Amino acid sequence: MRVCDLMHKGVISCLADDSVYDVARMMDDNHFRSVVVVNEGGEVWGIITYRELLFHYGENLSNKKAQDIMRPYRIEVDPQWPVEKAIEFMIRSKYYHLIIVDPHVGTKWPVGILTSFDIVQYMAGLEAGHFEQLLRLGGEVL
Amino acid sequence: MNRERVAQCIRRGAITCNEETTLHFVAQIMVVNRIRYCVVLNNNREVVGFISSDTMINAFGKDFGTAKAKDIITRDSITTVTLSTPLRDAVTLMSREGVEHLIVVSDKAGSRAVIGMLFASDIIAYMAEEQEQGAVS
Repeated sequence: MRVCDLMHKGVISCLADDSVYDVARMMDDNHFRSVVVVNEGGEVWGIITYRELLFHYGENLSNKKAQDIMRPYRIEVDPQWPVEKAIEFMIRSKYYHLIIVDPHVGTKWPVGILTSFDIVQYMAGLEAGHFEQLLRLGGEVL
Repeated sequence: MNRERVAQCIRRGAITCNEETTLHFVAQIMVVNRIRYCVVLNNNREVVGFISSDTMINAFGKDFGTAKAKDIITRDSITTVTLSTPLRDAVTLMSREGVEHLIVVSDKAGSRAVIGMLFASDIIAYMAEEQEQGAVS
C-alpha cells in the first residue's frame, strides 16, 4: 500500500498574504482540518491546522496574515512512499497532516494530503490477523 | 471573548468504547461514525480518557487485534473540562496538549460522567463568527 492510494487527492490552499480570518472561514466552510499555504508559483510554503489557529483565540484575525501564523513546511513526502514509511515519519515528526508533493513535476506543487484518519480508516478495513504485515516498522526512514 | 464558557460551544453526547476494547474495533468505531476520537470508559461507565486518530498512529507497531484501548489512551486528567470552564482555558489546554477534542464532564465535584465533547472545529467557527460581529479588536 502506497501513500498515493490512501491520500486525499487535491488540497485546499491559500496564499501567504491572505488574512487569517479568510483561512478560518475556508476551514469552517469546507470542513477541512488543514490549509496549505502556497506562494504565487503554487509551491508549498507552510501549513495551517486547527492548532495554529487556536493559538490566536481572542485576537483580531483580519489583521494577521497566513504567513505570520503558519508552520513552515519543508518536508517532501513522495506519493510513492510505502504507507509504513509515512506512518513512521508521522510518529517521529509529530506532523499528523502530511502534504504530498509530486517530485516529477519539478516545482513543489502539493498534490494531496495524508492524515492520521486516512490511515486509521485503512486499518479498520483490514481483517484481524493481517496487522503484522503492515506494522513491520523499523525500516529505513528518509 | 473572555467570559465565554465551554457550555457555549459543546456538542452533547459522545461516541464511547470500553477500556478493554481492541484497537482494531476502536478504528472501526471511528470509521463507521466518521469521527477522529473515541472516549474510553471503564466498567462503571466513568471516563478514563480518549483515543484520537493521532494516538492510534503512535500505537503502530502494536498488534491492533490484541492491544487494548487502555494501553494507548490519553489520560482524562489532561483532557477533561467541565461545563463552566472558561472557553479560553479550554483553548489553552487544547493548544498546549496538541489535541483537537476535549471531553466535557458535569460540574459536580468528582463527576466522571461524559456530557459531551468540545471540538477545535467549533471553536474555529466561533472565532470566525466573533470576528464578523466585530467582537474582537
